Amino acid sequence: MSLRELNYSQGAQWVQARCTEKTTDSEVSTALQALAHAAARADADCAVEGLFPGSTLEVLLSRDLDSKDPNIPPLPVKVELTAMRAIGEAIMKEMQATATKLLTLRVDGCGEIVVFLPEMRETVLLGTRTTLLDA
Amino acid sequence: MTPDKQPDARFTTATDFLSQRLAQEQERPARLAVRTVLNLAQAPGNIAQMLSEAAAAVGERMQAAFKRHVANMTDESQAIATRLTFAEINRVPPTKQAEMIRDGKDATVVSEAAVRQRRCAPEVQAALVEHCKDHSASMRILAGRPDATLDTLAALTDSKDWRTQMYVVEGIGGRMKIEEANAAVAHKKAAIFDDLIKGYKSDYAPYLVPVCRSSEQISEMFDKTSKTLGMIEVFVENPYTPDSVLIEIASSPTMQLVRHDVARSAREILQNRAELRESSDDMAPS
Repeated sequence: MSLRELNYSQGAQWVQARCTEKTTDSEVSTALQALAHAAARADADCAVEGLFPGSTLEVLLSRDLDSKDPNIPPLPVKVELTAMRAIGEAIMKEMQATATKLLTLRVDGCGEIVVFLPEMRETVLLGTRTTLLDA
Repeated sequence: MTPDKQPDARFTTATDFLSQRLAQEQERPARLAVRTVLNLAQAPGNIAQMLSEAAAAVGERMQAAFKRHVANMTDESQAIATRLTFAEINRVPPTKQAEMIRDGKDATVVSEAAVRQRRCAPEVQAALVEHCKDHSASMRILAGRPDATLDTLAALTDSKDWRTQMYVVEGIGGRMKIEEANAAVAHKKAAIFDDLIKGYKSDYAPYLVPVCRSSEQISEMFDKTSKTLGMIEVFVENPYTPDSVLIEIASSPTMQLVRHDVARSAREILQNRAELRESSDDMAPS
C-alpha cells in the first residue's frame, strides 16, 4: 500500500479512541497526512525526537532504498499541535495496554517507521543495523 | 492500529523485534541515520511547513554529519572502509566505489567492507579482483556471493584458497544447469567449466559431474577422482558417463566391497545399454 492510499481517517479514529486530548478526527487525519508527507520527502534516514509533544517517543525512519520515486502525499495547509499530541498519547496508551515498547509501520515505496521509547533506542539501532550520527 | 486499509503496523516487544531482525540481518544493508530534534511543543509557526522543511533538509544534514564522522577517523583505510560500508545508503555509484577500493587496495578492511555489502556491483567486483586478489577472506566471500559475475568466477578459478575454489565450483556447477539464451554468456560459462576440469580435484565431483555433458570430460574427471571417497555415484547417475567408466566401477573389487550398491547400479546401466544396442541392431534393416 502506498502512502497516497493510506486511510488517514481510520488512523484518526484509532487515535481518537485512545486519547484524552481534545481534538477532532479531521485534525488528527491532517496531522497523519503531514507525517506521511514528511516521511516520503525525507532524502536520508533520520531519528527524530520531539515529534509528539507530551511524550518522549522517538521515531526512526528507514527509507525504502529500492524506491525510485516516492509518491509524496500533499502537504496539508495547517497541522494542530493538539493533534500531534493526541497521536503520541494514543501510541503510548497502546504500548501500555499491550506491554510493548515499539511500533513498526511498513509503507510501500516509503520504507519503515519505528516509533519507540527512548530506552529502546539501542535496540532499534541494532535491529535496523543503523549507525546514528549527530548532525 | 491495524484496520484493513492501514499500512503494515504492529506493536511489538524488544525481544520479538530483535529476534525477527537479527534473523534477516544478511538481507539488510548497514544504514546511517541522522539525529533530528524537532521539539514541536516549542515550535512557533506552521507545523506542517516545519515538518516538510525538516524532511527536505535531512539529506544535506546527513552528508555533513557523515563527512565529520569519517574525518574523525585517523586511519585513511578505516575511513575508506566506512565509506564503503555505507555506500548503498549513501548511493555511492559503483565506479566511485571501485576508485575507493583502488585507493585502499592494501587494506583488508577495505576489501571486506566492499564485498560484504548487500549489493556488490560488477564494477566493484572487478575492482576487488583487480586490486585485492590476494585478500583471501574477501575473495572467499566474493566467490560465494550469489551475484558473483562470470568474470569474477573466471578470475578466481586459479585461487590457491580451497574454500574459494569450492565456491567457484559450486557457482559454476549451479549455473551450468541454466540454459543461456545469450551465446556469449554460454561460451564464457563453458570456458570457466573447462578451466575447472583442467584443475579438477575429487571435491569438485558433486558439482561438476552431474552437469557435464561430455563423455570425454567425465572420463577425465573419473580418472582424477579418489575412488575411496563417496563421490562415485555421481558418475553412475550421469547418462553421459561412458561405458569404460561404468565398467571400471562395476568391476572394481574395492567398489564391490565398499560401495556395493553403486557397483550394482553401474552393472545394471551397462546391461540396459547393451540391451538397447541389441534391440536397435535387431530393428536395423538387414
